[in-house]
Amino acid sequence: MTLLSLAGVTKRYARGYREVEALACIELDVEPGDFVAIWGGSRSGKTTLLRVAAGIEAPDAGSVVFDGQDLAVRSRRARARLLLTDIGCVWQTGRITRGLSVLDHVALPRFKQRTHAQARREAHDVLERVGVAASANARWHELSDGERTRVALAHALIRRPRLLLADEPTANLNMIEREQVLGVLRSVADEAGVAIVMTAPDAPNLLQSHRLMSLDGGRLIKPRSEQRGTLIDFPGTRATSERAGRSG
Amino acid sequence: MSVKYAVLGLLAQRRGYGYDLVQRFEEQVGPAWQLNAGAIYVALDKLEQEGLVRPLTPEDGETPPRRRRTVRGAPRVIYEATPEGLERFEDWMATGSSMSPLREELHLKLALSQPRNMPRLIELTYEQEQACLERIEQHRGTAGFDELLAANPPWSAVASVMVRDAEIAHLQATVEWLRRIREAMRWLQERPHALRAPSSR
Repeated sequence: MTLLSLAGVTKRYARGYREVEALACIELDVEPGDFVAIWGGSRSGKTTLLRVAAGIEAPDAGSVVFDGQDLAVRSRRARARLLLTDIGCVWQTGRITRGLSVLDHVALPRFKQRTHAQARREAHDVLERVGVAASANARWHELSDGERTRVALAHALIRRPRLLLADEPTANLNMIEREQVLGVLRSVADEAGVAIVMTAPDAPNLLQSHRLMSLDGGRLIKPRSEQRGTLIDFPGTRATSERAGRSG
Repeated sequence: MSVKYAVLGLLAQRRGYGYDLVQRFEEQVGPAWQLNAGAIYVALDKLEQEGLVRPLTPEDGETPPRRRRTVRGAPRVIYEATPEGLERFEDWMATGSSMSPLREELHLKLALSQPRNMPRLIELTYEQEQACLERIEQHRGTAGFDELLAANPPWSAVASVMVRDAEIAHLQATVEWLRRIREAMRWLQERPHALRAPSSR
């Protein structure tokens, strides 16, 4: 069954006096165990896409359905609870809980369900998996950008979410670290059946995914095997130009 | 004529027959080259004429594994590099590498287009981006530097990954270019008077 389904999702922002279409007619179905990589440059709409998929922002048009339920009809509280249980997020602006070590920050979501020692052991395993176990006792300001992203990933993974949304989780990593993180994502999808939607700024990041697509100007471009509808509806093309009344 | 040197290099690694060389070429260089198998046989002929490779004879005590004949029934010929061939291969490794010119049909269409063609050109950029995604898809799972993470990867594995990465890099650059020209054309579409009117003759 489809875990996450975005249909006709459109999102607009006001930028100064102009209205900017951050997302337009996004169609995306994600099954459990799917690892989807979305390739886009800066201001392509990548982060907005993930925020809408997470239910943090509501789309202006279209629907976001998670686990058979439209997020728009769920209460704010229910959406927030989803983010603590079923949907894990890795943001580039993530921060560690103030005053805690990396280990305790990652173990925090587990402190309620387990003894502290168990939670810490689990946290250590996850940190080891993403390759930052050596920094387990470090504080936030002591971490490099690449380590911070991986701590955020560990923090999301320890809750065992069913859907993981990761915004450029390989930013600031060197080649070997990147492959390690992509390998972890891939195995989480393959072995635990977690659905993953990841954004990426470049092509090497796409190679471990199961499905890849490109995001430009808020439009998803998919390989022909996946593209539903036609590309001629995209902005600037013949069909749209004629509709806009310009002579083609 | 770099296929010629590739064949020489493959034979320098170890002796082999035509089809074996085709397979080894594809394995080591990857699908991006889009090798025409016939080119290997042409190269073998040329190399033999130049005395850089030689076919093995029964006197060499060499018999091909299992089947001694090709599908068509002709005797299968096993080649090895001659000492001159090995020397020539080393020379080739030491020389600089040429770069092929960039020739794409879309470049010609762009160069010969008119402003009224912009909507179709924008469509073409989308289609081309889609094609690039499909090409990247072909490399999925196979490429990447994860081989380097494995303990003691053989150099051949690392080398193959580096060659495959060249195509990834090329496709990435193409997609980034497509996005740029699309943005430029859409900017112009929104400002129809930004372009100077063509001078009439």
